[in-house]
Amino acid sequence: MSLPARPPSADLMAAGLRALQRHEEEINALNVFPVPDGDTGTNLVMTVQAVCDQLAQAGGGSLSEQLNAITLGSLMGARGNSGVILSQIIRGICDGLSQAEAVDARVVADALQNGCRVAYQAIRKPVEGTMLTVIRDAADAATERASAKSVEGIVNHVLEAALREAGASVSRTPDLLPVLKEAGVVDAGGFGLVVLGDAIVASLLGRLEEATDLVGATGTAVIEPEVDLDYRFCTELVVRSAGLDAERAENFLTGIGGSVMVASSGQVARIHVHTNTPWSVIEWAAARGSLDKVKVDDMVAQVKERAAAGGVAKAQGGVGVVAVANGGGIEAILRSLGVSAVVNGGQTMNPSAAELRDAVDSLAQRDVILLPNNPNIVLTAQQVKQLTTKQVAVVATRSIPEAFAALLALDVSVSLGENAEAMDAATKAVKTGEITHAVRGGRSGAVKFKKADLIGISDGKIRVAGRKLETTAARLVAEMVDGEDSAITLIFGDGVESGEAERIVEKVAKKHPRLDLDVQHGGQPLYPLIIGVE
Amino acid sequence: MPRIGFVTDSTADLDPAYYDEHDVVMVPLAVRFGKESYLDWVEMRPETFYQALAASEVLPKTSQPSAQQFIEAYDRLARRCDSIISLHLSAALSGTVQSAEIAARQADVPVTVIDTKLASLGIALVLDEALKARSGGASHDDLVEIISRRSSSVSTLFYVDTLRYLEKGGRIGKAAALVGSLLKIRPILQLGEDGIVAPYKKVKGTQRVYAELVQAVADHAAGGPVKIALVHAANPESLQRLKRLLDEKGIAFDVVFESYVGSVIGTYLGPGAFGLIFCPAET
Repeated sequence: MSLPARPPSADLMAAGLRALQRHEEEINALNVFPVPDGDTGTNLVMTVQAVCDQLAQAGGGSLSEQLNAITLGSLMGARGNSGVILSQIIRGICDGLSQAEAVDARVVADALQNGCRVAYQAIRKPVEGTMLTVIRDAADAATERASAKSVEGIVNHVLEAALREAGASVSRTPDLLPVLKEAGVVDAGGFGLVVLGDAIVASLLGRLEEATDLVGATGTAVIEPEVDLDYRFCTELVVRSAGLDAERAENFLTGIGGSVMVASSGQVARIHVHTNTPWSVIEWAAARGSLDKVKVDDMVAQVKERAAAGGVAKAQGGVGVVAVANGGGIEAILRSLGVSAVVNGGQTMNPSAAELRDAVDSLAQRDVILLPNNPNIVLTAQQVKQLTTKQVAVVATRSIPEAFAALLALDVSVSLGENAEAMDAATKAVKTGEITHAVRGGRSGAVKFKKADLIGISDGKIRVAGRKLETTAARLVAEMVDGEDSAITLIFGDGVESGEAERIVEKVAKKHPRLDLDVQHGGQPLYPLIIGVE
Repeated sequence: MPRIGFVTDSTADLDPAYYDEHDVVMVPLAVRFGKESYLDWVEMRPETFYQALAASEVLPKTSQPSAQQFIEAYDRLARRCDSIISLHLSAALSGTVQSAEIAARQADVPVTVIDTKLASLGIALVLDEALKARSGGASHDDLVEIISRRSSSVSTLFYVDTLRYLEKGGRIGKAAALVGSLLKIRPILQLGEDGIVAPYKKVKGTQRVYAELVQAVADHAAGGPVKIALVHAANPESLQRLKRLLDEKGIAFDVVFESYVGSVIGTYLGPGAFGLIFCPAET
């Protein structure tokens, strides 16, 4: 039985490339081994891209010419550990196929076995629970199916069996490699291999792709922004040399680094090593032949950059923020500024330490900033530190405007301590005013008020009182603003009519034309207006 | 003495007269409104651009120069120069460096293509110093060294009225985190060491924007003199205000260039933006 009408190899590889591109970020997010630099998906994409480019350049030709182009493209384009292993698997499969006169089930299974063999040979210290395990399990399943003496043994079924087993093998990788289990993920390279294989087989057999079904849950890696790498530089290059001895190359590289891979094909060898002395690799290779595609990546910088850029690390590493607030509008603003959990509470309803602790524990991040946003909640917030295993820093915000100011200084790419310090300093730059109804009559300094009057409080003192929100608000703002200020934020509470709010905004804007005015609907109870001046 | 030719691109945001005067070949990028394409600074002056931008319903798009444009520029210089230095806009923002590199491989004389990791007058500051060094008889290698070193000493801070243009244009980089804030914040951005746009500070109020920019120069200058270039996107008043505040702060500064942001960079900043680009005055 021969293969069904076969599209040119370029179409198959293009289908594989598209699938990898679709899953690129997902694969990046799984990447914890050997280095959590989150680029496995990208490396696989680049590698297969190079195969497609090489095929386009070769422009068709006989099967063996196309197989040669695939091998050469993958070798030239291979990037990263996973890319190099993939290039070796591809090379082994292509070698296997090119030696056959007609492609049948046995040839396919043998080609997969050859891919597995070549890949294992290329890796200095093979580790189980990686792409290597996946290709071996797939090849074994193919071999078993190809020996079946019935219709079961045809090429289609061999390919499907290999794929199914590859998927199952990926789901087992956490059992083989503890670092995967700790991070709660499957192996990134193995998953990428299934994505690629599935797309190629789907294109060949004309069916839908289902890589994610094959593997089931993949998980998302927890990457700590702190970096602790034995070797700092990922160093890769291609050396062309008449007589390069792969074993001697490996011995040299093992002496100066880890994750050593030497993949050679005739006079071209691709070298991959993690080392602290990339120059010594270049020097060594340059003495033995001509160099190409020299690439040195600073992995420490890469990991930091990823943490800074958000992406994988943003969700789990970095710093999370819990804030106490009341009012839908305020909650939405807080979330838009980087708050992950809001605990309901405020002046008349202080949340318990346990409620705050639960919110802190609900975050994916281990480092958490807590914003109490009320003087009466600061002490409760401080208690949370003793109730959780997480690292908690309380920035003692006493109001919503202080919370907003603190959040503008939030930078999830720096440490908890640095954030707490910067956010604390930022709160000092803002003045808060609050307007509420007096629960009883009284006087404060020169200000007299009756029960249910509106009173305007700022800096802990009652500054103004009145019957109408419009005039009380305008007077409080005027009390607060001085020559140094540049912005006013008005946060209207629940129940303030829009016409009234508009008149207040107009009045304030007219009185303080030089200042930026930001008007928000906070929806908070009890306080018709909260004012921030900075 | 070997003759060394200089090539740059239009995103240095210098008036074309400068290039004629200083014997530099400028290769323009292009800005497109719908189907109409205009060469940055050559066919589309900034004054016209910001009017067109305000009137246009669709956002313009930009395109890097083709390798062919660079091949022609290098060919022209190769007739009278022994080598060429080609310095350009951050490769993280544009494929211009790539076009230049492709062309460099087939030039008749050696061409060194440099990614300054800068944009706008940041490139101009570096170019200006390199031209002075060329007049002083510096060798090709010396000039390349000067350009690389000075490029990394230039800081670029800028303010945009809205992040919309950077976001729609796909150049927002690490400042993406600032998008979506419900609070009215004034974003101050920087061009990072990697040539990618990143947040510098988020503040409330225009006054704070100016104060932070001036403070950044003061911190950086640490008492020494600084070279400054000021750019604006149809917001000339901002430059006057910056200069006044720098004076008041007692900073010893020399304004080397002052210019509009050209149409290509302006496509990503939008009207109202302004920038403060600076480096220590001496090496």
